[in-house]
Amino acid sequence: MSWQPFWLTAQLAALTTLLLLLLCIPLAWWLVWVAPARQRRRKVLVEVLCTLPLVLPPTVLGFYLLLAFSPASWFGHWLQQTFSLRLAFSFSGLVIGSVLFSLPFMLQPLLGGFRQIPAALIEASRCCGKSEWITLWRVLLPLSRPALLAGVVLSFAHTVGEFGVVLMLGGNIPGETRVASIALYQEVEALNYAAAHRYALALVVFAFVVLLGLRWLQQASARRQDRH
Amino acid sequence: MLQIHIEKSIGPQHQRQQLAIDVELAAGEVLALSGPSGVGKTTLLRLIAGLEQPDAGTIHFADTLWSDPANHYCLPTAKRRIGFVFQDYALFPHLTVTEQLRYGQRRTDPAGITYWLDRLELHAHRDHYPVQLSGGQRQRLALARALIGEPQLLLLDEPLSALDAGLRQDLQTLLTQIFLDRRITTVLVSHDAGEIFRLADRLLQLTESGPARLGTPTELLLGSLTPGRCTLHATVLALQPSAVMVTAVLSIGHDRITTLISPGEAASLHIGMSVLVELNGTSAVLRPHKAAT
Repeated sequence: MSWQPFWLTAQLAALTTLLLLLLCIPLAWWLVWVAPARQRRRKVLVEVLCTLPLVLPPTVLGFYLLLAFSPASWFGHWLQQTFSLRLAFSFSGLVIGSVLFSLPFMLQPLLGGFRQIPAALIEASRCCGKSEWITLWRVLLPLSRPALLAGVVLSFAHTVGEFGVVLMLGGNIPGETRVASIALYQEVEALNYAAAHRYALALVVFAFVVLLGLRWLQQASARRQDRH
Repeated sequence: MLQIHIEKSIGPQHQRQQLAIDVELAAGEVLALSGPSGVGKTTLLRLIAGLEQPDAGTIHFADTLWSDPANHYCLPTAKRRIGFVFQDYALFPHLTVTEQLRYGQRRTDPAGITYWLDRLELHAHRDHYPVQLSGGQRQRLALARALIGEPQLLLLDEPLSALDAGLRQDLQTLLTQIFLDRRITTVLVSHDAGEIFRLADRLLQLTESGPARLGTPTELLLGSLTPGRCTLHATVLALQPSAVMVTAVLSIGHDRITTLISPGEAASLHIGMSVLVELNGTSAVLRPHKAAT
């Protein structure tokens, strides 16, 4: 069993989680607190679009991304011509696919956390002369810590377990796109069940530890909030 | 100084009401808002703060335009330099008393924090979270957080309504001192006649039907109070005997009232004395304030 697929999986999951944090915090802030009432329809549309990967078969998303990133499409051609960037069957393309596919796993906990915060606290912050940015960092995020934690853990774990999008978009290139779930699939295809067991067991242990860790962190966070 | 000329449709969809306000406040003036529930007192504070937008009209403060919906203009709340004490205080649950005050400051000033901790008697609780404070301490913290940013306009939404009578008296005294010291233009929502007399220069009475009434607390409240409904703290300014009765001139908050009392009642009073005035329709019954006698 090679450790390279696990290292690649960890890199992909960490990068995806980081990008999702950067993307989803402002997005959730806009959806819950910033956009005025007249943009309600637009907000609903954005929220539905962002939730779509939750119910869509991963292969559907992978298929459309593959078409979009292919040098034969105008977008893929433009990326290659302008930035010399090839996203299909590359690690970069895999990161973009993972970010889109795991988006609801970060966004939904954040939306839930942000919506639980009383509006008066946000208004009080504005009355203290604080900008929206400071209000986000000093009031909203500290009070949404459990939701933020849940989003980080779920996104990371979901990316580790990703298969359909990775297979469609990245294929099976060792050191580039061959993550743990793909390596397991390849071993099964080759009828090499002993190696497949090792990959599978490692993923089961990882998932168990992650969920256990999440539970522990949530309890610790709840204890801290009780003290407040 | 503060010029409010606005209209706003308020209330649930099936029972819309029109809030129409035309009022101008001088610098340092304290305006009280009163009226039954749902007439728009809190909405008016929120409109002034920029937390809601009027349907029509304008709000100016010191010649600066704050709200003008006709031209889609709204100065953000954070730029209005206001202090707002919410009805439920809206204290940040994850910040200690000191951290809340630091957050309320518009520029870093540790001396300012010490000053307000001392002034509002919160020094012993400076490291406590809101959940560890009593109702009165939370109220004082909310007030300190609103004042520490050196606001040019103070908005108070029934700040003392949740407190018991003794605590309310203490905080009214504190607010009176702060208004005198700082001369901050203030809009205050209150249902308590005594509080209005004590704190406000003028009163805006909002009604469910018909236009809002604007006047001094004496003009608007004395004629409408029911017997035994209100007891006010006053100071005797003058006692002028006439043929049968004695005219007592009293100072109540920012107002002066005159009332006729019997020579027997007048015998127990002297100038400068603190008295309790029990309002009874348009007349008043005076008795010496125990604390002052």
